[in-house]
Amino acid sequence: MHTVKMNRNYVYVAIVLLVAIGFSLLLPMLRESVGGNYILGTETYYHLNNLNQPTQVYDTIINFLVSYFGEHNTIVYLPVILIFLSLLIFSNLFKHFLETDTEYFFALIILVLTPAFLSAHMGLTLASMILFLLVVTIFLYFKSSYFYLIFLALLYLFDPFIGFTLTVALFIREIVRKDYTGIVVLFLTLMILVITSLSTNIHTYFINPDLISFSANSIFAFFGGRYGITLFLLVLGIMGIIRTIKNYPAMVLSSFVIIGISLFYEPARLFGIVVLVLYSARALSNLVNREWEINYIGQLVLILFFCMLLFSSMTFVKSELQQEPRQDQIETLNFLKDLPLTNEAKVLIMPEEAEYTTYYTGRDVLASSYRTQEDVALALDLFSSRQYSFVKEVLQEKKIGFIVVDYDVFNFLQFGEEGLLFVMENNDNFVKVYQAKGTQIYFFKLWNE
Amino acid sequence: MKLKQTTVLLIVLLIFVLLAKLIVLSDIDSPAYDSYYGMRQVENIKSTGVPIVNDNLSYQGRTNTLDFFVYYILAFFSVFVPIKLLFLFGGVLVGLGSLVLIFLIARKLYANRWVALIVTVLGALSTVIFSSSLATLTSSSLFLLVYLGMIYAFISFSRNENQIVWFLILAVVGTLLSSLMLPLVLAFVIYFLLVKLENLKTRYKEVELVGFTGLFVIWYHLILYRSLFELHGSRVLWDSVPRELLSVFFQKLSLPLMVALIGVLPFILGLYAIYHSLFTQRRRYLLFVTSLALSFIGLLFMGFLPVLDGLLFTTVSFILLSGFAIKQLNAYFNKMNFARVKYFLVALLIVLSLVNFVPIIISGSQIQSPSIDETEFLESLSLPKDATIFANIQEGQFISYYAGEKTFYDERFTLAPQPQRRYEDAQTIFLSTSKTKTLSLLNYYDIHYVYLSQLTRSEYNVSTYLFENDPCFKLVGQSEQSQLYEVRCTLSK
Repeated sequence: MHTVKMNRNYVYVAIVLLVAIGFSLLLPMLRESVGGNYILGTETYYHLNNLNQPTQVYDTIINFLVSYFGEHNTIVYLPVILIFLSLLIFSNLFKHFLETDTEYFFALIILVLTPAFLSAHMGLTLASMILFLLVVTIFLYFKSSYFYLIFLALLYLFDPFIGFTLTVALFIREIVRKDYTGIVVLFLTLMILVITSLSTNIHTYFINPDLISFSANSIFAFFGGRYGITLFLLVLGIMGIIRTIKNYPAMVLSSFVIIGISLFYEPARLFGIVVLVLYSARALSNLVNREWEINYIGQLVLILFFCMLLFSSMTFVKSELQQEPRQDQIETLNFLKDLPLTNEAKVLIMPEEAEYTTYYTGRDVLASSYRTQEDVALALDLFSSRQYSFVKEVLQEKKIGFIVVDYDVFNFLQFGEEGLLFVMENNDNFVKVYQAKGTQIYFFKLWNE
Repeated sequence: MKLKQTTVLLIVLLIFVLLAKLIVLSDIDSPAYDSYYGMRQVENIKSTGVPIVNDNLSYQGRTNTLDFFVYYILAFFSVFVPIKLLFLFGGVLVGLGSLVLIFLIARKLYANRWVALIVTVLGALSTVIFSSSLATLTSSSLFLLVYLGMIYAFISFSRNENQIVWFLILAVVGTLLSSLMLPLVLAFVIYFLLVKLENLKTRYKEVELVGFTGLFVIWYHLILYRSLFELHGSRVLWDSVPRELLSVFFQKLSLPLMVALIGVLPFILGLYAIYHSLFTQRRRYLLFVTSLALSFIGLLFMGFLPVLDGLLFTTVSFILLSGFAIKQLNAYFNKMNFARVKYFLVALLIVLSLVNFVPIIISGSQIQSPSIDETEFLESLSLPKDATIFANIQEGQFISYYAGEKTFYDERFTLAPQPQRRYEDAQTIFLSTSKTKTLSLLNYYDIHYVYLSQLTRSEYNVSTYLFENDPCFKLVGQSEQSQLYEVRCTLSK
């Protein structure tokens, strides 16, 4: 009986791992085949651009991997390895929190089909590394192995806030368990980490203010949040919490704290989603086993949830395949790259496109959505400005030689607005050097004055 | 088969309403302005099999929302009835169907045919309900039938399980028809909360049925508006309708006006029923109808509902609730020695309702619809390709339908490019006395023609001096009630 149960669990894990690896490996190939390129996610470009001047520990790791294994192998296989290892560890951890095989299977399947989890493992993302280190630390901690301290230290290096929060959480747990050795070890670890961090200036921030946001647009996937909560997780998660709170109030309270932090701090959001996955699995299992008053309503509800889960995954796949940069955009950027002008001339382009612009052209950009928000605001002001004096002053100050006007700019300006286009078309200091498929590139002659 | 007295009277009432509507419609030449988007969609479906998704004419080019189910239904009916007649008279059948359903619901709620009949009379004489489907057929007016059908199925299914299937079918149809399913879902949530607060037994059949419906409705709308949500996030819930329009509507919609529109009697009787259902009675289905009223009133005042739709469904809820007071009065008078006084009161009630109602028929409808003169004028226009016509916001789709030309803006704001900005600029064009300002906006938006109708003049008190006397505007066409001016000047940059 025990052997049968164990075998069934192995089968579940195997299925889930296959699905995960399938997504991770197939998507880059599919994307390449539909006329794009194998690189997924704009964050990947951001990290590739940072290879020569790493701004964070993650970039240093990527730099190391790229130098040994090559760029292509790193981009394709690192996410596969991370998703594989993360799922293996989750498959072990989930057993501690779930009661039945059905819940266990549902938790794994929901996790692997959740767009936020998949999105974090497409390309090079800091979130996937943080999640991996988080679960390894927790796994080793529950295994009573002191190796968890190593991963805890690594986690702290990658994200001091999450590392610190986890340390405090484990610290509290040790106090509750009255494990004085554990208390002392954790306290000393925390002190060492904090002092090392402060004295070596590894981190610019303890908590990056650009990653703090409490807006519906980033929390919920249906409002466009990249690591957002889907309707499926929201509804089932709430149902699962309501079912659990009576019997396990402490567990639910801890979950609220984790989910609460994840709502405010984006790198933690993925872990909040994993917690919701657990409750969703419990709720879904309950719905399956429930005695419905109206039988066919029960079947309809399950079909509906199944459709919701599948639909969100398919939508995610579709958006990944259609993500920028498209082939025509890469052609435009290659043209920009081949222009016989020093690389000092920066490019003004919409912030969402900045990182892959830098990657393909080798030119710096004014603003990227991954860097300072002040520059992003300045870039948007420039695009919507009709005042030549303001435009000239900023372009010269920031040494911007090229302005790329494409569909995203028109979308931003909306119908009838001309903004910077009005300035460029009515001033001889701007020369149109490229026009194709709705994209124009202007050269500003006075960029270096 | 001998018909019951109440059935006979109901039929008489329906005939009365039918005649009243036909009398009003006899003065109306064309469907109301809000019908023309639907007419364009139906025509396109009939000719190409698909609706207009990328609309080149509205807002000079925009994407339409994907709520086309209702137009496929109307396209089916337009095979048998000409489109114009369908939109002009189809609402009459919708209105009559609504009254029948109001009767059935009231009969179920109050277990008294006479009370149900009086409720139906109040509904028939309600100006809001009467006008709602007059000379127009929109998804909202069709949704009223679905809405009432769902209420009936919900209050009936505890005794007749077949009603569950009807409820589900209507829920799916309603979801495909209109986003007004969302307030209905909210009403169900309020209902379950009230049931809990009143310590009434939770019926799990209701929870299961409504749970599935609510989930389906919300999921469907998230899919339907996915691109809108991804582009604009949660702002789309508030920012679709230009702020000025919202504030104008709500300035006009004061409590006295709302009471007058719903009807003083239904409002007072409805309030009475709400009070008792919340504080003294523990009647499940009365709580349900109370939840409907609370949901629509709440969303209306928070600005989440179009005013006319919100008023319509609020009125229907109050009229259904008014049956409670009528039944109580009936029981009270039956105990008295002067039981016949109740007949006098019923007559008084009907007379008071008629006081509001009759002026609509005598003076003609307040439905804003174009005249034959205007439609013929627009049909006769022969303008250059890609010309844009600037007109009143209500006339946008009407002009696109008859003239086949681009228009500056109209009342379909969702997914429209910069509705707020365009509305503000349109006000400036209509009201500004500065030729430079007017011309600069007309040039900016590449507008070639300005259409001035009776409606525009009365709404804006627009002086035509600028257009009549300035060489920058040339009169290129006119009819008895409208003129078309060509914009001939361009301001240099």
